[in-house]
Amino acid sequence: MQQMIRRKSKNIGLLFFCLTTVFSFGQEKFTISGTLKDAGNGEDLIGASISVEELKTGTTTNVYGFYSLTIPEGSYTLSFSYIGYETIKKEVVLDQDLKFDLELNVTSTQLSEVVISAEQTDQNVRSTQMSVNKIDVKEAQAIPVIFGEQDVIKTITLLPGIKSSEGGGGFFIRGGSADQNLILLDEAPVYNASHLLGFFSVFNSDAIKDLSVYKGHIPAQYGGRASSVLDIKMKDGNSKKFNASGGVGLISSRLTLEAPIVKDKGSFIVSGRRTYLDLFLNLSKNEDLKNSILYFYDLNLKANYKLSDKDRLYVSGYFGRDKFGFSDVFGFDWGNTTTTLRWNHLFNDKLFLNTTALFSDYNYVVEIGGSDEKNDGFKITSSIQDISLKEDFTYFLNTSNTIKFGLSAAYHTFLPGEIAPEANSGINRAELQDKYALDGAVYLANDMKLSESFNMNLGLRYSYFAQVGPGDIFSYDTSGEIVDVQTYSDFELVKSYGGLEPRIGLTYTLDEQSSVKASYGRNRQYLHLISNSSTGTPIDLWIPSSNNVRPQIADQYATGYYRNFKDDGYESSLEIYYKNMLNQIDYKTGANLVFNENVESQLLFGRGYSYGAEFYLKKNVGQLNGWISYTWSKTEREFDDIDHGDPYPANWDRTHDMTLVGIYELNKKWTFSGTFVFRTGNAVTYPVGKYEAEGQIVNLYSGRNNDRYPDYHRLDLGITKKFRSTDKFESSLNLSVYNVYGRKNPFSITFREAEGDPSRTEAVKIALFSVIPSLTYNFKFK
Amino acid sequence: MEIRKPKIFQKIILLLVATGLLFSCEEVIELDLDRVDPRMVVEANISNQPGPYTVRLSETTDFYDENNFNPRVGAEVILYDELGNRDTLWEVTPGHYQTTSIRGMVGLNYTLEIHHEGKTYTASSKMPDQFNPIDSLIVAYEEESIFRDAGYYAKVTTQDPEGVDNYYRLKIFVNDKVFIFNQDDADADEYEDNNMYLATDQFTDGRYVDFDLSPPLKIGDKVKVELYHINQGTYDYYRTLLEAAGLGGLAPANPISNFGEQALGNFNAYVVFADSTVVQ
Repeated sequence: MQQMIRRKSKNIGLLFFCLTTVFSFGQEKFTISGTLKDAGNGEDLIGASISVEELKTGTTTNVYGFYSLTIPEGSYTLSFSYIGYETIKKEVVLDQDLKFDLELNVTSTQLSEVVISAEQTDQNVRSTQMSVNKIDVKEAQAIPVIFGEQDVIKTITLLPGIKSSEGGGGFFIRGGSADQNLILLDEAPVYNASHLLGFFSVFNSDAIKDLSVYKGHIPAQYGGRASSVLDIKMKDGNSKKFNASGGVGLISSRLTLEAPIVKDKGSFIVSGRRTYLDLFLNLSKNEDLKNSILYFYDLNLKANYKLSDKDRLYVSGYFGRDKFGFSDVFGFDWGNTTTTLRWNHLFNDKLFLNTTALFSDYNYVVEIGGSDEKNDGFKITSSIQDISLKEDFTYFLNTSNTIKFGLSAAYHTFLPGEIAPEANSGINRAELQDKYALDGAVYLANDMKLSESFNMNLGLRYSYFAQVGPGDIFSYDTSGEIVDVQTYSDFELVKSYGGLEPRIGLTYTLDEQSSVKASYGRNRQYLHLISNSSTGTPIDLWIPSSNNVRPQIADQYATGYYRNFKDDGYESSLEIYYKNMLNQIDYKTGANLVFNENVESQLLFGRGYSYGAEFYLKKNVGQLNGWISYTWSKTEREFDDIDHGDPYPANWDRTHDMTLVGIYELNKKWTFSGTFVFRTGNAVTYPVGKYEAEGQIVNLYSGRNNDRYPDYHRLDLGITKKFRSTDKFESSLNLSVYNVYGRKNPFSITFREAEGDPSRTEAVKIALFSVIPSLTYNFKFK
Repeated sequence: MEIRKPKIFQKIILLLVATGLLFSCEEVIELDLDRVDPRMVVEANISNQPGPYTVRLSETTDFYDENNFNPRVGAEVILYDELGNRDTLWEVTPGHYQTTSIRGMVGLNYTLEIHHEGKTYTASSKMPDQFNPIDSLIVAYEEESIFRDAGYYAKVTTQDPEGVDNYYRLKIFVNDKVFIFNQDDADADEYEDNNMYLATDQFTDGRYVDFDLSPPLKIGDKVKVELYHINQGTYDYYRTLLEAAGLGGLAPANPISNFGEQALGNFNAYVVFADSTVVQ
């Protein structure tokens, strides 16, 4: 322990040294700053490049389109560029601070034949960030999807190191469980990102501007989950003119309206989507089905306003819900609400501050029975709520140092479950104790250019978490029996945890086109998802770290080689990683997780680890675009009370995982696309025999996850036809076919008495989706 | 109150299938399953009713073998209580062992000890001392609902005692047969049943409870219902047995047993009440 502390303090010293290293040029320096926007709709451009040709240096815009660059005085050629946009070049004589707020035009050619200059697309090679993928939402729209519903979560699972599940909204990043992904929508955590049992995600593509997924080396400003961060930014809305866009699909329709509030000063966007599956139910002859409801909706709202040259306000909200009702005797609905209020402030041309206040809520309601005349039903509710405040500073010190620092605080309220019976109900009112927790973090990070070819990103985050009262807090022994009860008053500390989370990334540029990178990061996770399924259900329960449950800790080491070809027309990477995860959660045999006050007594704690190699090759230019991704990996867990402490594969462990995505733009009218997915089946537990007890045939099990589902593979194809577009209107029709050759991939395999022969038993595979064609019409009024 | 939990997700899946959104397809497949050496299975019960009580010893078999489970013969089976009453069971038929003298008493702790081929298997179970008899057994006509078709159904009522945890199991016999639904029924998913009705008083503590039983009855049917007061261990065993006999969940495992990992099955001490009626 002592050794660990000493090692830590040494690390901190080294970090401090590095953070304060400033490279001096012995010349007077000036700052060029401003914002970059899309000339067509006024949206901020995120990650656009500003480069100084003479110095071979530059910077990129932050998530609010802001950039700042400090260089010695002199005459320079600046170039402002962004993929898919025309580059602006400016000759400047730098003898004072300069400000350029520029708007870039989308390249006029429809076909992606533009020669893309190195400054624009070599980010993957040059930046100190590794293990990150970004989704270009426009590009993703060509990828064929099930039921024609564009889904960014489904799209990211086509990338290396990210594993999906069919039917089940969870995804798994580098061996982490589904609850180890921090999903942020305009900075607000989304606690359940699934609609309709996971067949769709809650993110309506029409409202999304940018999506980044960090699989390793998570930047220091993020924290709270052990495996990854999925950072989703909503569109700001068109600040130039009104436009309306939308789509009509097989199961849902979408409509988005955007307009300036005051031209070039503020704008808003309203984007909604609703499914109409229940219309089909109305056609049914069955009275119960006729009276049933089944739909979900999403509503994204956002507005922003520029108060002054130095201040800008953003308010954004998401409201989504699934509603399900079977006749009038059973109802079930669930959904998220998030609200984010942000204020960008520029202290000067080098110091940028974003202040965020946010609210997030996830809840579900189950209603059972209780017709109006009988009044004998009951209602179950459960929720988790966050309120949080954050301060994020960026200090653009000079071209060699970009320093980020900030702090955050959050208050979590957990309402695990409440049963409210109606007057004539036969059951008692019951409520599980609410739980409360506070957390806070401070961080400091510096993105440093140490030499022409050597870059380093050093980050240090300290996080703190406290479970607080009020409440009666139980302690359990190893067999799960209560050994102690303590009563706590409001905000009285029950248990606290905290610790450092160092993050470091190194990049060594070998030449213009290639680099090697290495990174290490530690992440602490204080909230845990208790679930009966690996991929998540609406009734899963979030619990805080407590006197019985310790925070999960993940250490990840990764290294990679990055190479671009043909003027960055192709990019490729090979990354390998090792991740060690402590205080992982599994469940006791026969654990009772539903409405249990003592749910913490049902848990087992152990260790997990994962290692793997990820290969990625992407083609960015030409009529044919797309990528190949292949991941080899192994994910195992070790729990004293499972399989006698022997390691066993995690359910989501998949040895091979391969994806091919191709998009072919034949001409201005026709685009073809295809996706092929192959992966090893999930690790599962099959019976090793059977016996008879209580007059039933019972499966005999031995060893956790010793078996595999059959390999999963699938081909999807899509065709999009664009209709003649005018200055005012454009539209397109998309036909996609999911699972073209009708592969019956198992959704589940069960074991039962053989049909027609009660003296035998058999295994039955259930496949959910066969060939599914769908048609979607998209339009836009400009 | 309906004992069976409405299977929320099954209902939703059913709805999705109804809308044509899900195209589920079922297919019998042949799997290459692992095998293990046969293991001991113990089915043993003692109740407050007069004996003799029977212990059945059998063994496991491979999944793809026929449902023939070899008896474990020639075992020494001893049952004793905490007062020192002790009974050595005799093997009436292969694998079936019967008590001679011991009499089940409420509130007592019982231990079963089995010696077979050099191995010893031991389990203890306490017969509950809190129990409440069946207050009424009613058969009434019910309208159609999402849980069942219209028809005659049995309902059992009892007064749950307040302030204690109670665990129940109910068993229904129709015309003297243990009622098990025909799983080939067209609506098999809806009506699959194994006559293992389990309930706790977690949400009904101190209430006058009614248990709705799902078998549809006909006029003239003779109905017998048994209400078992079981201890928490037996409840957990039954609960996890249903999981192992059914879908098994995310991490299928053998049921929780008071034999630990020595043997499968369980030793149950319970209090049982019965009532019967004829549908008219």
